[in-house]
Amino acid sequence: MNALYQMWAIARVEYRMQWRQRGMIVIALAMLLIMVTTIVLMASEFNTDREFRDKFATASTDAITSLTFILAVTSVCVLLPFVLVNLIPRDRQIGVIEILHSTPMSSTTYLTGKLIAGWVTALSGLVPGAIVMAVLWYIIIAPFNILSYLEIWLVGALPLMVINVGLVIVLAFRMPDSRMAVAVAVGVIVLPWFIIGFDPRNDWLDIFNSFRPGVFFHYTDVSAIDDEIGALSPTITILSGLAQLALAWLGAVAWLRWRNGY
Amino acid sequence: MRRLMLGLLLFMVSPVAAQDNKPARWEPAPCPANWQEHECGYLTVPEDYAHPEGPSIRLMVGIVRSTAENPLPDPVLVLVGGPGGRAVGLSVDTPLVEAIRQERDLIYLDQRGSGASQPSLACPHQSLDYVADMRACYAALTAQDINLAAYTTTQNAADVEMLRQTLGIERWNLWGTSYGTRLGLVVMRDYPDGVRSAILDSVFPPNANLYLDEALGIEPMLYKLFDACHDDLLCTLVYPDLQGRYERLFAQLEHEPIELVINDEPFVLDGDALQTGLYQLIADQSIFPLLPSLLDDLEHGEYELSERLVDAVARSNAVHGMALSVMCSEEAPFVDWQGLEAVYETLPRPYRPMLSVTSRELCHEWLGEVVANPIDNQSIVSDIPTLLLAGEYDTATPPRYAYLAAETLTNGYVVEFPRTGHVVLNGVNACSMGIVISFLDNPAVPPNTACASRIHRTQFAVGIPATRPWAWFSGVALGLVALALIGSMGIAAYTRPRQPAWAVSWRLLGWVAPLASVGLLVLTLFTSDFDVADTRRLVEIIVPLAVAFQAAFALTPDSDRALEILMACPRRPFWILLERLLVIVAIQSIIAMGGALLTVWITQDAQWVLALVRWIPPMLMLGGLAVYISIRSRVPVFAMVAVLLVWFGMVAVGDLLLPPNVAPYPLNYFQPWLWPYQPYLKPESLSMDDYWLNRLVVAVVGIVLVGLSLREVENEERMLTGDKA
Repeated sequence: MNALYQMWAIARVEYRMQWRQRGMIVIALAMLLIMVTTIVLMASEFNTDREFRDKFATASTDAITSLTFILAVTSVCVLLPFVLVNLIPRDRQIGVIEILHSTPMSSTTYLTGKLIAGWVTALSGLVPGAIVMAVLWYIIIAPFNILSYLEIWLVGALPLMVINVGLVIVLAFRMPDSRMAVAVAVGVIVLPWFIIGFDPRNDWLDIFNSFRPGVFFHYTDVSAIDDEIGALSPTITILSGLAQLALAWLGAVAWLRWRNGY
Repeated sequence: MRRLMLGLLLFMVSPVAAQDNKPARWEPAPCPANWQEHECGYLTVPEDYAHPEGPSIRLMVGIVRSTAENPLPDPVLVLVGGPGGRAVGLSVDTPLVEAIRQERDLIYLDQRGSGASQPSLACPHQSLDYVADMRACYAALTAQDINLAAYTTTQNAADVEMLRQTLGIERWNLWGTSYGTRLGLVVMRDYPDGVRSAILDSVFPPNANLYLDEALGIEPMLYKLFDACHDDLLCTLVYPDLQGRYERLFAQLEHEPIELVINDEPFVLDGDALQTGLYQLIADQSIFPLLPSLLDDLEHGEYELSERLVDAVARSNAVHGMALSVMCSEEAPFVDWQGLEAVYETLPRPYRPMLSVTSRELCHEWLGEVVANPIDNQSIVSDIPTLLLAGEYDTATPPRYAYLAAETLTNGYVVEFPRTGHVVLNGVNACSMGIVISFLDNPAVPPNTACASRIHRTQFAVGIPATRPWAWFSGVALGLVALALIGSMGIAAYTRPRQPAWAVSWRLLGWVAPLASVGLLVLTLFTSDFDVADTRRLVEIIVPLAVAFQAAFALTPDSDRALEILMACPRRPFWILLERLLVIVAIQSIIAMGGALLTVWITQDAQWVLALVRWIPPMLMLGGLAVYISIRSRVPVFAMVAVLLVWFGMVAVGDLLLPPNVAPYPLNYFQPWLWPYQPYLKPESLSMDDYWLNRLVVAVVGIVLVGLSLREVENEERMLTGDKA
């Protein structure tokens, strides 16, 4: 129970730090701006009388699914990992980690608390965007299937956020400063994209692709492609990503225990 | 002769009687690759219903089932245009089709001679010479013993009725586009009992006088283009007096035609070709916004867009046997050629057509002497609920055709869409789709068409020649700012104590980023299956991003002590930042040069100078952006996020800044002016001169940003030290 309290405390403090540093606010506002601009631009294309709007629920759902997922993936896969990668290296850089080592808190608790803080921070940056997007779309453009929209976020974007943000935080835990932490984010996010590529024709190597093509192409209105040419399914993509995260976390915990003894 | 007249009379009274013929045969058949989840089959029908014992033909039919559990019993029959267009295999992933499928099945018919129906009257597009192509087509089709005279709308309508009977459908809804509307109207005339309603998009009624209307329509339609440009702020600013420019260009081409090269084939662009091309292209909603820039390009002696459009027009005009059979049997016989020529003579030269006069000879070669059948030129009387859609800019089937057809349709509702071209339902237009769905739900009620009047204005594309002066102005103005900043920073660096410590800077900046650049370059070059064009871009994509990431952390509160503390040290922050940026640029430039040499070697690139330098401007721009945001905000993450967004956006969609792409309103007013600032334009997307101009502007923007960052630090230094450093 004590460890849970400690974890909660670390997550809470780190979350506050992120907001005080304005990084998440800026990113959340930037995403909101992009979403609102896109909807306003699309609204002029979707010129129809209100009595017809219900006729386009299917088309509207397809459009919001694709658009949301493209925006969500851009933020989840590209931006958030770079913003949150230095959660632990910054503690090391400014000397906080030495103080933490002098407390009875275990390294596992510390690492897990930081991980949770990263996820909560990322989530709080995404949720306003998700809500505003849905409300504006409903009002300005057309009704859509709310369950499909929820699925995009809960089954599509949320696991990607958990995996990508988690991976960069855990893999950068030994980095001495922010510069090196960013290098880790480049290695985790950019490198696989360059080497593996980004199209639905790739095979099992895609489980290491930070853009998670199996999920991306499933939700961006090209779902027929994965049936035809055998891209990974979203389930395999997400499960393999979670497995990578679990392995990275176990490796980091083992290393910390070996190094620090607790 | 009397027998012929009697036969013709019978033919007029009951053109073909599909229900009296032997039953058609239906056999399932595989669908095209993109239609695997739908049902297809062949319907066997007589080639000539007047002689049912004669040869048979097979019509390809596709059925797209409704997504409803209990679909309504009256499906929608899709009749495409051409004549000769393909229906089975058309994309069904469109909002309108999806909305219809929520309640009804859709049936797609490849009309006789068209698509996958057998025999096919399609002729390959072989050259830019229409007459030569037509003669080759005629020879090929008659060699197969195809009765070209049997490919008429009346026979086509009998096929439709035969299909309805074979599928056991009591009544259906017709959805015709372009020529498909004429077929729909003939079905409504000959087989009205099977039709619940009809949606006719871009109406082509039998009583239209196509040749005369085209002659008289050119001038008003070109005026619509000029007026639309005049009404648009951007277009009228960039392309003023479009009418005058067209008329001057027409006169110039009359005297000195231009020779274009289309797929290695010469094409002479004279005044008539310009006028005909413009007239045809006005009807294409995707091309209409390009036309002012097309005229401007031609004025400036730039022909790339013209060549692409001529190719597109030539392909769309490709000979199709079905089209010739229909037009030569149903339109040409009713033309008063001498009267038409007399009308031509009254038209001002830049608005006088040239093609139609030759149609008489072409038709004579195709079908021989055709005796006109009066019914083919009569209006169609019907009380079937009919929705007639028309686009204001439709030159192929102008809006007046819809009104002409509606005169004899008791329950016909015409909806004219402003600023819309041929085939209204082609565009992503929820208004027209809503009207269609509403009409299908209840054809007896006139649909609410209020949204049609709210169609937004045309957003015109602005070509590079029109914005080139702006690019030069940007380059020169920013260049002067850059020179001023370089001078000022150079003086500051020279006159004040520097205390260089290059090794310290190198150690602080670390080896990870250079290693990441090398790793990314080598791994990507040797593991990815990029094509040559992508391989050429690798260095410019990777190295500038690495420079920007390093620059974002060059001098930050996270990594360094606060500036206020640094002031107390003998090494001045201004010099520290400059030194670190120089180290970053030097190291990454060495890597970039190596990578560039490697790509030149791999791609056997002839333009090796370009390969060696194309990464420099984006490196300066992204690096400058990163260091500027980082210094201003003191939060390097902001810089990284901004650079990532710019980099990602520009690499992925940067070419959208170039014409012929047009940004949505109101971004269309800004988009044409942005290409000089796009760091990732591809050299093959624009002329080499424009590419170098773009490189110049991008590089200067980067230098200005770096200069401003250095000045920011220097200003802070002055403020804190009272200029005593």
